[in-house]
Amino acid sequence: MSNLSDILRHQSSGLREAVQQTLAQPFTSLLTIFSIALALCLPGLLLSTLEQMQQSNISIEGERKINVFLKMNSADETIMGLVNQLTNDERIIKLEQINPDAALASLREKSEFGNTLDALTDNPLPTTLILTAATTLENPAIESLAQELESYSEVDQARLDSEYLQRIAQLGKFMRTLVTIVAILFLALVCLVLMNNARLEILRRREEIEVTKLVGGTDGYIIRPFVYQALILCFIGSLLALLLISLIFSAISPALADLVSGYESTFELKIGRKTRLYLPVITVLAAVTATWITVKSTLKNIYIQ
Amino acid sequence: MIELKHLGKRYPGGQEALLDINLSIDKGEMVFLSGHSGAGKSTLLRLLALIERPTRGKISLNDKVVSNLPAHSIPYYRRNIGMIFQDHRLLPDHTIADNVALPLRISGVDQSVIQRRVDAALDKVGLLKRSKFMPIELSTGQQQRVGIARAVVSRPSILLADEPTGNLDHELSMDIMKLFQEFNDVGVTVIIASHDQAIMESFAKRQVELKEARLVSDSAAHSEEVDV
Repeated sequence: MSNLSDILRHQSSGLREAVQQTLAQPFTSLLTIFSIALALCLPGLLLSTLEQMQQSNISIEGERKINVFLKMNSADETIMGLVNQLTNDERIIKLEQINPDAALASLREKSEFGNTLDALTDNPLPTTLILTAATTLENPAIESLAQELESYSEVDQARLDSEYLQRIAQLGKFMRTLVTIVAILFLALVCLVLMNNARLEILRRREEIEVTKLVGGTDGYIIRPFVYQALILCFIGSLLALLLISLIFSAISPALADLVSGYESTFELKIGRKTRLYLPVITVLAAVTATWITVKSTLKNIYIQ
Repeated sequence: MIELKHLGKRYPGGQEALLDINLSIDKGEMVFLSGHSGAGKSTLLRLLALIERPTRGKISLNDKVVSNLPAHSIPYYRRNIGMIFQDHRLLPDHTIADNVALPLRISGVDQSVIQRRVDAALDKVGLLKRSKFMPIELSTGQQQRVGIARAVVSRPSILLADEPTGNLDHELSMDIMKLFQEFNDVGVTVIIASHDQAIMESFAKRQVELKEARLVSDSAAHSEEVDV
């Protein structure tokens, strides 16, 4: 038992028996695999969606923009003075000035209100400054900068994009908590299915296990096929879950693309790297542990030591 | 050598299954445990195989106390003992060859060695040609032979048989006993629990009688007669 070849021989023997047991009851095995796959679908879907949302968040967060709308009919000298002042402010790394005429032309070009805009006698748009805050600034500092800008006499309104980002971040935090809870619940469901399977299988094969013990079988020898079977079923089940998630994403992608196009976003649903890795690994580890504990404890009920 | 000293077994309900058993069995000896049903023969064999633990006294094998072996060591101890049961305890959904190969698979023996030793064991009990049969396809006597092949395939130094001829007629019983005799002839210690007096008398072997959980007689010259 001490050398590596003995250990490998015992492990391969356990694996071979697990494969034989899995193939010997194809209907039961398929049923278990589909149960696992379906149970993993919801946490997998949520995890992937969250992952994509987080990635989208990161790209928006990098911008850290404040839109400063100046009061109507502000004098050019006043605007120039403010621009100079803000350009020298080290909290601001970029400043873009949009004149009312340019803003109106852009609006006319991008929107469907060209005729309506033509009817206007005066340009209703103010001069706008788009500021990008330094990356060293935390959210509270950016908010405080926006409030400070709003207190200037030339400024009508300073709107912070991070308010929207904060809401997204809060939503993300809520989603993460929800996904974690859902994932734990469904993982527990998978473990319970496998634990129950293992327990019933032990009861079905009680005589065989007793004989195995009588002729010198260790607990390890008896447990190994059960653990390997859980590993096989869970691994196939989680791959099937990934396939199902992929199919679901494909089915809802066109509708989602229409929805997000209105927000000028490229957000799309696909199975993320973390989901591809975590779903099979965590499921297999949890299932193997749960099965080992179940078989070990159930074996104690078999009278033979 | 197997040595039992003041061995006792009391079940949780208070029933005494064995009381103060003192017995020495030499290496290579063949011993019959006789007595009526409930006398304690099967319990004694179960204690020897450490299927159960004694509540008093101790069991030694080759001067080493084994009755207090930790649970994880028992399987390795049991690999040195071949066990034969009255009901054979064959696995119904495995072939004869697979049943016989079980102890070797458990020990991690190479497949080529397993094949050779299974064939040899089945040949010894006269069932080599039926190695691919399922247990249900064999007669009771043949099933018992498979049980014996399984017990001896790993070449144990001790064979424990619990009423191995209980379900067989006299002729088949004699055949089975002759098999035990053959294993004993090559140095295997054989302990057989039986209540078939005629069979036991056919073999001039040591006979230990149990009655109401006590050892009441031992035919061995070196043993003392125990008063009831």
